[in-house]
Order: sequence, then C-alpha cells, then structure tokens
Amino acid sequence: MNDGFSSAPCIIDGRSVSTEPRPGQCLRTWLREQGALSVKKGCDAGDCGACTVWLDGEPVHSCLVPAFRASGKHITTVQGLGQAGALHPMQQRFLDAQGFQCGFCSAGMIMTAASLTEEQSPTCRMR
Amino acid sequence: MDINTITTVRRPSTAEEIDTWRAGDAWLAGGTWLFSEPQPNTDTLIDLTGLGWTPIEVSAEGITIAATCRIVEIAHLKVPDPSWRAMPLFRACCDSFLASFKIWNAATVGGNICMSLPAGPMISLTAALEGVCTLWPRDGQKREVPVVEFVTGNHANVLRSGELLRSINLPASALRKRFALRQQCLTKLGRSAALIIGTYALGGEFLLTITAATDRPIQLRFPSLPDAIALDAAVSAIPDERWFQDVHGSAPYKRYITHHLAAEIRAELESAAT
Repeated sequence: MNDGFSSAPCIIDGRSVSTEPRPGQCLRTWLREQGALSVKKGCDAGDCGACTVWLDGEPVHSCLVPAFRASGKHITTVQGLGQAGALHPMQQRFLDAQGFQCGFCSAGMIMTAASLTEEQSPTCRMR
Repeated sequence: MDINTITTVRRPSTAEEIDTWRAGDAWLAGGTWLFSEPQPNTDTLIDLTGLGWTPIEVSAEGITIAATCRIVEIAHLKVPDPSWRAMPLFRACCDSFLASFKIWNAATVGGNICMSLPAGPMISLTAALEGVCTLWPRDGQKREVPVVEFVTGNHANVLRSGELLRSINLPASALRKRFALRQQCLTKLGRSAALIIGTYALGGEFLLTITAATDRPIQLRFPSLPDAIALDAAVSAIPDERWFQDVHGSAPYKRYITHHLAAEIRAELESAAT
C-alpha cells in the first residue's frame, strides 16, 4: 500500500514539477501554487469550466481532480498551449475575434474549445 | 474544490489492504462529486484507481463494467456484434448527463450509481439492461444485487458501511433487445425530469424502466408487448410516494409525462417489430 503520494514528477507545460500536493488538495489549487496562474478558480464545483486544463491530453475541470492524480502525467494549461508568436490556432481565433468579455474565463474556454479541434484529443475526434 | 478536512490518502493495490473501515473513510473513484462540495465528515480518501480494474470486459455472455470505468469509456464503447441492438443506449445515456463532456473524462460509472440520485443516467442504463451489481462487503462474501434493487431512494442505496461496488454485469440477452429511450428536461441539456427506457425482445418480454421521475428505478415487466391500456394501467399502479418532486418538476407532472413517454416507447417498439 502506498499511503502517500507517488514521487513521480508531473510535467506542467513542459516543466517538471515534483512538489507534493496536500491531501485533499484539488489540481487547480496545486497548479496555481506551482505558478500556473492562468488556471482560474471559478465556481469551484465543476460547473463553469474556468479551471479547464488537459491531463494527458484530455480536458478536465481541475477543481474536481485530486491533485495527487497528476503524478507522472502531463498537464497543459493555456500558458503551454502555444507560445508567443506561435499561438495555438484556437488562441489565435479568440484573439482575432476579440472573443473576450472580462477575460477571466477565457483560459478555460480556449482549453475547452481547443480540445474539440481536429488536431487535438483523440477522444474528441471519436465523437 | 480543496477538501481541507482530508488528512490521509490511501492508495491500496488490492482491496484486502483495506482491512478496517472507520467513520471518516471514503472510497475515491473519479472524485467529481467528492471534490464538488465540502466533506466535513470525511478525513480519509481511499483511492480505487490503484486496484487496476479493467474498465470494460466484453464476452459472449455480456459486458462487465468496473465501478471505476470512466464515463468517456462507456460513451465510446463499440461492440462488433450487430445483434447487440441496445449498444446505442450507452452513448444516449451519457448524453443524458447534466454534465460537460469534460466531466466524462473523470467521472465514473460506479460513482454515478453509488450517488444514487433519481436522475443518474448510468443507473438508467444499467437498470434497463438488467444489470447486476457485484458488491464487496468489508467482511464476508461478495454479493450480487440487481441495479434496479441497488438504489432504494433519493441518494440512498443498499451499500453497507464500507461496502464497495466492484462491477456491473450486463447480460448479452438484454443487450440483444430492441430499445427506445425518452428523456424529458426543462431545458435542452438540463437534468432529466424523466428518463425512461423500454426494451423488447421480439416476440418476447417487454421491460419499461422508469428513472428520474421516480425516487428510485421502477421496472415494469410484461411477458410480451402490452397494449396501450395495459401499459397505462401499470404506470398508474405506481404508488404515489414513488413520484419524485424536485425543482425539475412536480410529482403530478412527472407522473403525467411518464404516462405520455411510456406510450411513445411502446408505440415505437411496436412499429419496429412489424
């Protein structure tokens, strides 16, 4: 029995992180503590999607995911989706269309919308 | 959300490693409910993912779904045998969730069943397909309970303290049946006020499974396709206290809509049979 957390590091936007989360901590809070501040705290109950990230390529509401489950996995936030000068097509489309209101939820919207594109998640391509 | 009352996470690799059960322990599958609201009475999470259960096993006898199987795996399940006519029900019930497709990537079939809400679509699916739950008590022998008897009321089920839902078995005989589904919601993608599934073996048994409209699954079984009057009478015979009243509809509304949808299902399956 492993009564603690695995020591396998997690990869956040290409950066290896091995900071152990607290018991009961959700992935969103842990990601923000690791500097991924684009991951927003919205409803905190899995409804709004502002905290959406990709866990091994699959979009999830990170407020509902136990942080320890990220051990050994790749996490993509909107900060790692594209790069300055080489935005992901979905980021570029949001920018071109000025698809923002206050902008608070935009990161989650982009991560959700990008997961539905052809070039992304195989699970989405199956739909 | 963060569950700040949690002090311990246990990650067993076999169920036998959890040899004691105490107040404050909670099984953790997908976590989509546990992490959606405060859990003041829980201080220990016991993670089921380390048990390594195969999510879905398909054989000539039917389909066995592990409690830890994620909804996304059910939604995309394909079975090559065309005689299993009920397979489209899997996706249809997933689409009946009041949840984003992103939740499918984390939430589990077992979690939805154990939550035992009237509108749990995995309850609707597995009850309609005559599923049988395998339960692992903390002490004693495993036991089997039909899904339709597993849920006993709103947020209530037969699980004893510490008992674990291991899997749900769907027999091939049910998977071969024709089906018809009707869902009624106040909004297009809202929570079901009624989710009703009829299954029919050509020239054989007709089964109507009523969920969401009632506080627990109600199954009406007929040896053959009933006529409209007989079906209506059977729905009328459901006790008043079973109709579930909430913000999604009053009990009389749910009873009325069930009569209406049951008639539609019967007519659809009758026309498919001719």
